[in-house]
Amino acid sequence: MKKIFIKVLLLLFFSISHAYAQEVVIVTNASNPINELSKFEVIGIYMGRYRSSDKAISVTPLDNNELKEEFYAKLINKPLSSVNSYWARLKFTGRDYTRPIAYDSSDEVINKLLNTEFSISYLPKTMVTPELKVIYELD
Amino acid sequence: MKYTIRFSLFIFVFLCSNESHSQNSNFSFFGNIGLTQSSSKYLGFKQDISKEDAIYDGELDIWQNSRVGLQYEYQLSPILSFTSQALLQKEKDYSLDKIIKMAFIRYKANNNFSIRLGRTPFDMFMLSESRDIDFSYLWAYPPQEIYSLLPNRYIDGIDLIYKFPLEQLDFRTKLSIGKSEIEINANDDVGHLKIKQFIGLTTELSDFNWSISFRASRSKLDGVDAMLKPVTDAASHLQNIWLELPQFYSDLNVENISGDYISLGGRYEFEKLTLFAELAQIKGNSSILNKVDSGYVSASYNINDIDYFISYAYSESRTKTVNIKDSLVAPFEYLPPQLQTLVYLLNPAINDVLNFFTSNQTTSSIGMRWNYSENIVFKLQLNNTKIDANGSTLWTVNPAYDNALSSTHSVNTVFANMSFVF
Repeated sequence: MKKIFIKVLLLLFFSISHAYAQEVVIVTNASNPINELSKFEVIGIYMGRYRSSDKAISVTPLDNNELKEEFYAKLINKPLSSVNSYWARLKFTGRDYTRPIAYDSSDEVINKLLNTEFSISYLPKTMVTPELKVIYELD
Repeated sequence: MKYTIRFSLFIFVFLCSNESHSQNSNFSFFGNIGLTQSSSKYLGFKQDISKEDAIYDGELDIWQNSRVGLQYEYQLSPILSFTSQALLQKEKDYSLDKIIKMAFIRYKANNNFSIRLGRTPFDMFMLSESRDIDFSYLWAYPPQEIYSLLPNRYIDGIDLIYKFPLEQLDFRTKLSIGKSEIEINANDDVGHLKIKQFIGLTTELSDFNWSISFRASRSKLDGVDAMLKPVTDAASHLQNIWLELPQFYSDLNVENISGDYISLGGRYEFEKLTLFAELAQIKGNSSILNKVDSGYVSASYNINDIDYFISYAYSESRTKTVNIKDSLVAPFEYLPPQLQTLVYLLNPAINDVLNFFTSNQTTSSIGMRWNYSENIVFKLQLNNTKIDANGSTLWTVNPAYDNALSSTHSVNTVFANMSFVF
């Protein structure tokens, strides 16, 4: 019984470690002329802030619901509830904002990215295909 | 205002009837279900000075802090959009004019500059715009000392917004011009004040983790003379008898009242700890609009899905009292009995007028916000408020205890909320 308990604990530990260890990258269609973004630009795009560069203005951000919590934790070090409070404040006070369009799965995100040149989103690095290119890697 | 509402309705109906545009339109909801309990039998808790109902000791209320809002947005083109918002909460009477909190067209000239025309949220203090969007802020009840003094929610007019980056920071400034209306309830006497001219400037510098903002505005008020007419009419019977009557009329300055409002606020987020602070001042050129200094500091600490917070808030203003008997042309005893009765009745009424806008209190708060899901949060907050004598503008005095005004009070208020956005 004790051995089974230890195995379950180890299994849980490694599955959790794996969940937080996966590398998350910002990707776009390979035909998009943008080759890289800075962290400042990614935050600006995903948080509806002022977009200071032409390349930041041109893109449409997509949210990947499968990876959303991990993505925002890595990007801005905040839980989703803080992100949602932030959007609620912008939206319901009549501010000008552009919120990312949400998709439920990585497959849906890839499908959308392959069909739109200027969309960007985030995926596990292991899912990046030759038709996509990485424009920013999250720490 | 009627024209704003009619125009908004026209736009709304036109856009809703055109189904081909449905991809560019968006409906969303927000709301709060709030339970409130307060501990005083002398002073009743009310949401702000416009509210008629108050909560006394032993009463559990669900209406003061509950509301639901519906927002509709329509993107007509990349540079033109329409936004409207309706807010339903308990009111004495309901009208479209009261329910519609936003209805404006935005013209976005470029990435830096935009213009909004129509009804926009009042932006007087740091949380004024989001005062009814409970989900968007930390507290179950924002600091009463600043946010309950002015019940304004919108302005009908135009605002010009300019924003640009300063290194990695966002700078945003806004100039608003327009008019509005305030409803004030003072122990069952409802008064309507019109803000016939409003001009306000907001300047904000922010990073994602922090922001600092400064707001300054001036408004000219109309309707004070009608609200005070019973008192000023009664006082006119003491013409040439009460020596300070001309000064009393002059200090009221009812024909040309204006109020100035300034606020400096900031927020800083560390990894788990967030700090908030704001200082505000209201002052006017009439003895009915006393200068009020107020402010708060608050800190929250996040552990997993829960933010624990503490706050301290204060408001300070000068109280005034006159004693008519001290400045009569003849000793009080020599006046005819009718005038003696008038002086006896009028004196407290005049002191009420002079202290109408007098808030002297401090509140210590402790609470928590449980981020239950992406769209729903639960909040719990306990306030302990110490209210000075003649400083209870933010409370309703129980008519059964008229002398409650002349003593200090300590009141505990508990808020339990469920806030949501969809």
